[in-house]
Amino acid sequence: MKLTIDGKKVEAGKGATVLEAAAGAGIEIPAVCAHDALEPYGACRLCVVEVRQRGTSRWRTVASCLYPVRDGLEVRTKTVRVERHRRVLIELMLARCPGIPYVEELARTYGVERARFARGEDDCIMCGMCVRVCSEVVGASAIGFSSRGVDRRVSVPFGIDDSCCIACGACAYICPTGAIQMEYERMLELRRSEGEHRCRYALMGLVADAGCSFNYECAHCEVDQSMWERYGGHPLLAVRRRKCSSKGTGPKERPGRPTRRRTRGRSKGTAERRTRGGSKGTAERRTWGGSKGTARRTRTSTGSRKR
Amino acid sequence: MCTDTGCRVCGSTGVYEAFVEEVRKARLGRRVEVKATGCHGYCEKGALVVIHPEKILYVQVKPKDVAEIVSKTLKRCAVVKRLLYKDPESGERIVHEGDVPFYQKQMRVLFGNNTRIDPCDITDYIACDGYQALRGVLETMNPRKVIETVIRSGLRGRGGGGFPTGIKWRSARKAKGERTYVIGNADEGDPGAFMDRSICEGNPHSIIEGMLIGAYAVGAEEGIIYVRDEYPLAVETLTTAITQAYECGLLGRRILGSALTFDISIMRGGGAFVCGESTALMASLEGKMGEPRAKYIHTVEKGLWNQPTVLNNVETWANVPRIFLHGVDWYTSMGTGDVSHDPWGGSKGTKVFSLVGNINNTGLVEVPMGISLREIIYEIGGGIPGGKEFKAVQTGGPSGGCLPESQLDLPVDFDRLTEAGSMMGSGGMIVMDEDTCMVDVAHYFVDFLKDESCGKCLPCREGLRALSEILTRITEGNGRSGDIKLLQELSETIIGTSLCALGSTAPNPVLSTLRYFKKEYISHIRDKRCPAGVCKALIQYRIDAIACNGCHACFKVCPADCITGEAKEIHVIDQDTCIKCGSCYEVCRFDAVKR
Ligand SMILES: Cc1cc2nc3c(=O)[nH]c(=O)nc-3n(C[C@H](O)[C@H](O)[C@H](O)COP(=O)(O)O)c2cc1C
Ligand code: SF4
Ligand code: SF4
Ligand code: FES
Repeated sequence: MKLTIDGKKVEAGKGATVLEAAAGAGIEIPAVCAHDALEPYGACRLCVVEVRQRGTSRWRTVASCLYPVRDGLEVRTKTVRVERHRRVLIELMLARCPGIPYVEELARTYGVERARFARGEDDCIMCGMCVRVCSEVVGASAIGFSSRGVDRRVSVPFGIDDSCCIACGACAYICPTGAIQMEYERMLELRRSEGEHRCRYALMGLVADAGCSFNYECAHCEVDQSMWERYGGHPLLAVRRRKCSSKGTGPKERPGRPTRRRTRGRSKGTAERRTRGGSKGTAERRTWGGSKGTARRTRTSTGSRKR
Repeated sequence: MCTDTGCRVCGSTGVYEAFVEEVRKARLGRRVEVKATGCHGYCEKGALVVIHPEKILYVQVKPKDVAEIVSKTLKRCAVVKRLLYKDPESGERIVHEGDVPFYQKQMRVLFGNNTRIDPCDITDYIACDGYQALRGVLETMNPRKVIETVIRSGLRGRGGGGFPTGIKWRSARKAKGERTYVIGNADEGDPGAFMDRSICEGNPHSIIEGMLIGAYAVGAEEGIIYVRDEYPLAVETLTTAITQAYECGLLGRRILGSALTFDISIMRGGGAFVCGESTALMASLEGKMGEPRAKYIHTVEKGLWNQPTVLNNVETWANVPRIFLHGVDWYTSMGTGDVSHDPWGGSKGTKVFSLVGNINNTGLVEVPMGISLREIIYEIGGGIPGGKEFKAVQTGGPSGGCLPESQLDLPVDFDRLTEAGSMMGSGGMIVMDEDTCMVDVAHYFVDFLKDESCGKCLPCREGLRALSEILTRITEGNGRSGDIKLLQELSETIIGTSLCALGSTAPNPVLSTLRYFKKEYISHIRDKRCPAGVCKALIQYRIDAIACNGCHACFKVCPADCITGEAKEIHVIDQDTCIKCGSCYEVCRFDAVKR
């Protein structure tokens, strides 16, 4: 498939999205809710671009993370209209989640100084990555969305039933704002009361379940440590990403594609955003590792713990 | 007689029972058939009784009137004058249904049979040429020809988008998949709209027949009708109809001796407005959360369970048998434009509207496309009650636009309504009189949509909240000078970036009122005044000392006891305790209460 993006000729495999094609060509499009281990979703709409099929005159605004490439497609990623839409979107996000470093950074990058709308006090930008990682990658579907409209929330079934959570921590790891965190205490509590234990790496299918020499106190676990080192991130996401690129077909294995998507406008990487929530220094990487517990959405600043 | 939901509210069940009883008593059982039918449309005047074959129309019938009707009309062929429709202008009584102004301008292609058919009796439908279209299609046409016919008829979707039905079918036929699904959309979440309900309750077989023809055309074996759960009667009637169709061999295997196999099931929606949207509806059918997904790959290719799926509104389905029964030429003779080469070229056939609001004749009206709004409102609807002035009409459901007097001569047509900043939508039509504040109306609809947004995508979820916040501020008298521009800017982004059509049409009420009633926004923001006197924060009631003659009437009606003054003295309203209900304003006969 041959298309042009911002005047540049780009080739992309069939089934690729415009966002992927652009990333391959080194053209940056902000994309908050896209992740290369997840299916595209289309919630943040920041990846908006203008497209025109050859032969037609009208430019349409579409979400590039979902729009499939077509032969002869023309794409513009930085027109006045697109930039204006992006700024209003970021402004809306900033109004909902003021004081979140990740959102503030995004606003700075796109020149949004302040939101002209009433400020909320949410941490969650509703990107849905936690929910999708839990169902698509982990396969646990322990969390989902409840309610609708402005009341939409990430929650466990009926707001109470966290029994499907396998404490893998993928949601907390992937969350860009730190809105979802693991509750270590709660997890230990559950384990003690229910007798039978299983290693969460066994639940994730990464190791054989052979009993735990640390009495399932994950805070002292070496497996945990080694997993992180081996995969350079959350093991499940790393495995999934590799799986995608070893399929041999599709857009995910195109050369030149960065292994880790950097188009999210997240300039300071994961470390910065994960420090939110009061954890200090070295705690970031271990936040999830040490917090073997059920996923709970919290606003508390004690969510992530230092080991 | 109509025993549909609207007339049931007016006691039609009792009337029906009384008729059965009286006819039995009068020993007329062998010559008179009492029939409970679906909606006739004129819900304003329920309960409605029509005596065939003369088509004598009795309105607002109560059970106690039944004995008289039986003894006079049925036995002696005399009309009961007091139950006839009375023309509000001339005061004349009108005998025949067809002469009543409400029906005169209508073209009842889909609803015509409603007054004659018992929806729970398939033989009634068959007697009215039911399933003849299907037979003709199966016997004489191949699927390609069927699709071509539908394309040539210019039939466009009645569910909102106005997409040419034939084109949709053609894409579905071409799409590759293991199986194809056919779905009827009767989710109808628009406030104030009830035409889909009335079709389901009044003539369910027309939907089934349409779906059968569609299934034959696209090669589907499985059909689903998605009905909202708040329509229990519709679910009941449809279930009965489907059961009877199976019994008659019109559903199931080898239908009418052909190779066609088709099953229909009913699914009930949970009542979320957004579940009427095609992808959300399919997600909901799959047992997932009812939220839309992007349609860059169309549902005709990958719809329900990722298979090719044809989703049409039930009114669209009901149109299909009509086209095959009476022919394309007949169908294209109604409506606007030329569709012989391009199905987008015009709007053909009829459209059912539910006419509600500040209008004399509320109810369902079926009109040919191309009729003007003025004809619908003044000739069929009988104008605005109470001698008030017309102000605006909102077409197309909550995300439609509000059109002013100057646009009343606009023909009802998909494209013309869109050009004017509104839309056909599914056919809601809300008439508003001079006492309506347009800012308040925009606020109401934005609030509705804000609550009904699924919340998946940012512009719709947060954008509508912001729109609502600004409109609230304006109606409360705290509007700021940049607010109009801000509304426009926000609307543009919501339209340009929302995932589904709920979001991308939601700013319509705001933009259309800004376009036609900008002055009202300006008086709210700049002068802190609500010209229609609706926004409570911006009005004040006070008593004009010169005009007040101390009749004491306002004193008596004030529910907040905030009016002081003895009889024959000048009365005063205490502004601090006044709740601005307007009762004093209504009751004062000397125009002494000022707003
Ligand atoms: C928010 C929203 C709500 C909708 N609700 C309905 C509905 O209640 N009934 C309906 O038939 N179509 C509804 N639609 C339109 C459907 O998405 C779809 O276009 C239609 O059912 C297709 O049938 P048609 O081609 O016959 O119009 C809705 C669309 C949106 C965006
Ligand atoms: S909790 Fe985090 S990952 Fe989940 S939707 Fe909210 S911002 Fe996205
Ligand atoms: S536009 Fe609104 S209703 Fe549609 S997907 Fe987005 S949030 Fe949901
Ligand atoms: S909508 Fe495309 S990245 Fe969020």
